[in-house]
Amino acid sequence: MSWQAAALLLGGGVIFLMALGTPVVIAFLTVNLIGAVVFMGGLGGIDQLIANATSSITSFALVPVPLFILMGELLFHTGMAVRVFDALDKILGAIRARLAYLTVIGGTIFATLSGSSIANTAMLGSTLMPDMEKRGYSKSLIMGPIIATGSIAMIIPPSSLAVLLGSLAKIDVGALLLAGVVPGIILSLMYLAVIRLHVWIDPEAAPPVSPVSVPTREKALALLRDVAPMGLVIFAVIGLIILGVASPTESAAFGVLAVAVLALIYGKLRWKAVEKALWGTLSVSVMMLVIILASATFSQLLAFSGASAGLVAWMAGFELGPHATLLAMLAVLILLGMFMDQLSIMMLTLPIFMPLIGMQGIDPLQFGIIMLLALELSLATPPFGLLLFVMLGVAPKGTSIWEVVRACLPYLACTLILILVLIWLPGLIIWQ
Amino acid sequence: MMAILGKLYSGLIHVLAVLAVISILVATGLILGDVTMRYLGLGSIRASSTLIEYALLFSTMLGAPWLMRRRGHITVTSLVEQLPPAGRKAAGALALGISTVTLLILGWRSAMVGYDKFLRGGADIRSIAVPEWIAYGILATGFVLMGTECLRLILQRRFEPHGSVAA
Amino acid sequence: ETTLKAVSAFPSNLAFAQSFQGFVDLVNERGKGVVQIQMMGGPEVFPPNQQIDAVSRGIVDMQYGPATYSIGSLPEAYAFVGGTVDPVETRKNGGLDVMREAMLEKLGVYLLGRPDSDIRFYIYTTGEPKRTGDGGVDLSGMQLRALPIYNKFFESLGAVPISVPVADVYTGLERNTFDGLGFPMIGIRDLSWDKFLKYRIDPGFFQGDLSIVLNPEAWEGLAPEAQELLTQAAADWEVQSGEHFTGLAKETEAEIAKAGVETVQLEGEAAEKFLDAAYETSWQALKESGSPYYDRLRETFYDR
Ligand code: NA
Ligand code: NA
Repeated sequence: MSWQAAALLLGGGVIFLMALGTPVVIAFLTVNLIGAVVFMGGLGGIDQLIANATSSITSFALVPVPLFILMGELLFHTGMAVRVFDALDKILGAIRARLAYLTVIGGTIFATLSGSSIANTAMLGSTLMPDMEKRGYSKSLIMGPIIATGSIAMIIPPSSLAVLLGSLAKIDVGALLLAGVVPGIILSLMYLAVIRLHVWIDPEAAPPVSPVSVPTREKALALLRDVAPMGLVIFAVIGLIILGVASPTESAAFGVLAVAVLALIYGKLRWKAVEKALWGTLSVSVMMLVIILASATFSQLLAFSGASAGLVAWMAGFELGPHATLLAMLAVLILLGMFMDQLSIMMLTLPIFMPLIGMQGIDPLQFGIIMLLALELSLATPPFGLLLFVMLGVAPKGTSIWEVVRACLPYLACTLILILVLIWLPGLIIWQ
Repeated sequence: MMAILGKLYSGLIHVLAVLAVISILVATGLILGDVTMRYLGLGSIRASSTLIEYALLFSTMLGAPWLMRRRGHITVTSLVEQLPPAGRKAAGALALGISTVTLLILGWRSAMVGYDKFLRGGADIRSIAVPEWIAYGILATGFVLMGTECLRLILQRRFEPHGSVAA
Repeated sequence: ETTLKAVSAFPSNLAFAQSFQGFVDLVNERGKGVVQIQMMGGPEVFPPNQQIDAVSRGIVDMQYGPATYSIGSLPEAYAFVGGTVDPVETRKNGGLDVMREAMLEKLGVYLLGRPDSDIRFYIYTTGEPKRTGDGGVDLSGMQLRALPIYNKFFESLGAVPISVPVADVYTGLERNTFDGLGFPMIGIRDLSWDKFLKYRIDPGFFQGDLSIVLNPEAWEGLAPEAQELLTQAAADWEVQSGEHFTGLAKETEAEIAKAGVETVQLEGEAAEKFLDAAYETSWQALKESGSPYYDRLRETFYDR
């Protein structure tokens, strides 16, 4: 089978089944089943597919997903989140879309400690989404900043993905990590600008500015009583990482503990709230992880069938100049990113990209950052975009995937603009 | 008789979901214990990383049939919703039919491979050794029960596409 | 002409995968019109620990990777890491045949060869290891990132083995979440871990466990000429790759020394004691598994 036919069968199959209203996870599983029979051969192929699936989610790196969701659900259902946001509203009352700005600022700070975009988005989403919605923020002003900022975690160091990219592409890991700082901060600033623009165009997207000014005394009290104790949660998640007590993966568990302890102190740790939080956690983490399980094996099948390798080799066949080469690579990464997970994309493309980079005399560091940003985009591009699914998991019932995608678009555009600047004017962003 | 069986079956789905929640809590507790012990210089719980990794598979596959019952798996419904009622029903029936077949085949093969692994007695060596058949057994349980959940919808003629997410 | 589909347990940019590519090129050059190998990819097509199953099921014909990934089904893989006899010798003394029998029985694959065996593993630490009165090392209180095959050895030195995913090691070392790790010389720089590792304990221990295996039916189905060609190519590659890796290890040793990784040199009896502990934990594990191949493997793979 030609690589084009294989790509059509696998990619087209998933899109067709999703459009038919088959749950996303089953759309992937069905195409996996057909692909295993066609490309690997018969029952043996199906058995291999299942064997591959056993390895897909038994991975320590995925632990923060359910734990951060549990932390967010507990914050919400115990009513702890409301107190904090009430207080913040009081303190920052004069700023329109204040919680959206806080999402970006808080998310960026957390990105300097956590290396996982999925965990970061899960945390921001489950903590912020339900409450911001209640406060009258429009869905797009909630979801866009959360996904955008959540995904910065893999650009700003630490970043597990940058470490793997560095080692697979033979780029100095330390230099690559460091080179992510400036683009990460620029992105974060661009996101703040997008929010400003958003509320300027559509003032209804955020709740109104509070008409009466709150006296400083009351602000100080709110800060002390409701916000300061949250320092315990922040310390449990962030402080323990800085102190080297817990790894970023492990710290999520301490976040859960800290929320539980605080809720207990405030007398809000009622069984009803805990029960709701637990079922909510199960629901969101199952819908995420089961898709990761199905899509990991889908990526492997795409690689085994030769579909993705064919695409990459086809692109490499054109003899282009440095800028056009980088653009073509970007196109390939975006295309693969629609269907594949990040690690598979790296393992598949780097052996072909790196020699091209060398031939064209492109700075590997420049390429590395472009690749990271392109991989960041892939987390939010449909039909397979894990951050879209995280968001759908925590969003109110009836939220559609297109609403989430639309909410992300301006922020994705920021990343795309940054990539283009990096292609033509890398000196602006990479300081050596 | 059928009613009792139905109750037992529903009870099973619910009990597995409770186990799924418990495994998330156990994973949380293990991390807390492991990090604390490491910090106090008391060593490390050897089994913890393996148990936590398996807890992810356990909670996911045991929670999946329950989520299917709540029709909470992410589904794109916006396109089928454009269809006239008859077309919508047909699309829903087709999607459910495909889902049932896929899940039952996967469940059957997971069980067969798991049985084979059980007879061979191999282990997955991580921080501790875990018998290889366990992962396959969990997959088989999850896939089969997800399949029977789809079958149940077909038997009840509930073809309307529906998910936690309408798109 | 027969074409064999092959996969490797390593991403194709890494040193080990490139060594296998060298073998593939060798076969493809010698085997024109007889037998060819087509690379299907690395971990992106099958998770490394599922690749052996893919070979025994016949989904691919050939695989290259660490035999210890299958240690749960093939405790005999301990003889690879705990071995000291080189591949040329185990071809002569029958050791390879014993291992071939074990792998066929336990994994359902045909062992073609074991290239890249001249690899030593080292303990690297961020803080200076304590020394004992007799010149050995005392790692008590240190938490070392370990693969399951090192666990017992590290414990015998007083250290606490912990498991850390590859992607988290860099950050873990940077933040001192743990105190060191065990790793071969080759590839230690690939992930830039050497930036945080300040000490390397010499001597190195163990031996490489990489093997090339084939689906038994695919092997039986080959023309005798093709079988001979593959066998000869594997034997030749064992020698060539051995030399290549020995050279590469020397280069890396010099590089990391220059980058400031201090060598903690164990001498004489202390070094012997250290190595005894390393090798014996492997053989002990094999013995405890009740493997019927233990005696024959110990005889042919171990000569300390
Ligand atoms: Na980060
Ligand atoms: Na995507």
